[in-house]
Amino acid sequence: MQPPAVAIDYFIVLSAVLFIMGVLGVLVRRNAIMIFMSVELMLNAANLSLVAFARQWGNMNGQLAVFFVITIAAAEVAIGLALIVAIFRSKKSIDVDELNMMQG
Amino acid sequence: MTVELVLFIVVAAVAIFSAALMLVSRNAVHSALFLVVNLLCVGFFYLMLAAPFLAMVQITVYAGAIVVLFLFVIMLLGSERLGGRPAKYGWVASGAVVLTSAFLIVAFIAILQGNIEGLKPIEPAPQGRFVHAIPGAPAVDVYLNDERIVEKAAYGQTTALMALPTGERNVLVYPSCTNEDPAQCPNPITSGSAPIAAVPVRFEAGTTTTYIIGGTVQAPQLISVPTTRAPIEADNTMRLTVVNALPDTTVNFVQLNAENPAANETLAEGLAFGGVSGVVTLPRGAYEFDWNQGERRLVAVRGWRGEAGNHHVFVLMAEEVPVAAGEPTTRPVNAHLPPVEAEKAFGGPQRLGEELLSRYLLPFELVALLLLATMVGAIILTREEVIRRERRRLVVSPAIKRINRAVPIDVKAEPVASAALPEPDRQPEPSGD
Repeated sequence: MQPPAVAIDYFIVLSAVLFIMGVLGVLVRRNAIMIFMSVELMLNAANLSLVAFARQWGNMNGQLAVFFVITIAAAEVAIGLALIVAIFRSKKSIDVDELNMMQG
Repeated sequence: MTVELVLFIVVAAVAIFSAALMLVSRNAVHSALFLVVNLLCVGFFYLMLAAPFLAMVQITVYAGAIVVLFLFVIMLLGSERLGGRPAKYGWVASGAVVLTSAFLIVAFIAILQGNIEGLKPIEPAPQGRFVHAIPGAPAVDVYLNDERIVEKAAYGQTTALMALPTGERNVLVYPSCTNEDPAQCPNPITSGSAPIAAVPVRFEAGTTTTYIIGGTVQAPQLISVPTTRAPIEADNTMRLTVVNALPDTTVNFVQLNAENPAANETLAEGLAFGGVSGVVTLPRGAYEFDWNQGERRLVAVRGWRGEAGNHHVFVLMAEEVPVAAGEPTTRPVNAHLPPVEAEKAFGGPQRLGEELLSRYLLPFELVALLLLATMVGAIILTREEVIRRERRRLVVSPAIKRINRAVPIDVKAEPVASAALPEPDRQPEPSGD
């Protein structure tokens, strides 16, 4: 297999940057839907690095891991959004700062 | 700077900007649309990294299904406009920025020092198979240095592909022991018996080779035929290699054209004994070939049908015939070795499907089950009656009812009961229904 046209390092750096932005979104934003979108951003960054390493090693395992991550991300979004809808119906808000009913 | 690098920088900039805009935008619908841009950029990177199938999945599942779900929920809840209320934990934002920048710096240092480019992938072990093509010779064993890799291969038999060690080895061919009892068979290496053939061969990593033990018992020869397993670019084509393992001949290999004999095509010309043709790529289908020596036809191949995606090997070799006075003891024959299947293209749907249905079958099934559970879970979570029932239970749970029934006479005990279960009393009933 030919070596990749663009060095893998660049992809890994980009993936790290995107991941950090996702972390920032989870920590800073207070809207539950925005937090979910940031989680998707983080999953995507991890996927990008997995595909980059799969290319570097000429090994399909990385791509299969990405396939599973995408599937599980879809499941996670479905359940997460259903939870958000349920919470919104009972509390009329999806601000995570106000979801403190578990604190006692 | 190559075109690819420029393209990478442009798309990476778009990806980072769209992610940043997604984080800062106040309108959730805008955020979701910026997320789509970001996901499409990542899909483009998948294409650059030889993962075309995943790129398509990324676009359909992520940019399609998941973001549509997001948009649907945002609009269902009417929460496009966000914020307004002051943050309860405002100090988290500055702390998060500092910590994530520190983490980013650490990640950069790790990537730089990790020397990812310097890590070379482990080359796959060389693969090989052996073909016994010496007429009149007994079944043979093949040894690499002192390790037996082939046992009792009879004439005309082709072994399965096997992994071989990398580097230079002595290939030794010995006649197999005919004794029934394996304990009676001496090790030919230690007992010092003479091999039929002894050839030093260099095994290169990542190659697939067919080794034909041809010639005669007096003058055997090991013919190496490169049999590539690299993915075939065009659909519905196959590879063909022809080998002359018939001693003292020089032959041509001709593809016959049934309609027009003048358009016969010579695929290999002047193959001497031990000669191997180049790899010919042909569309799949029925073919007729001739092995010719000069003008004389030695062997005809008729009604042969080649399957796509395989590497076929034809060997012209000698076959023993029953002895009759004045007749030669051997005659030429065409052997079609078992075809070697080419690997599917890296990152393509076929390769991914093969892996999913073989090594990753259990995780695949588990993920399917998980999706089923998710479906049921999402339906249950969003059912109206469930939410209403939960709310009712929150206000008057059977436990409170029982306590109320037991306690009201004792007025002094009431604050104790409410202290034990403060939650239902303090929680105001959600307004609106």
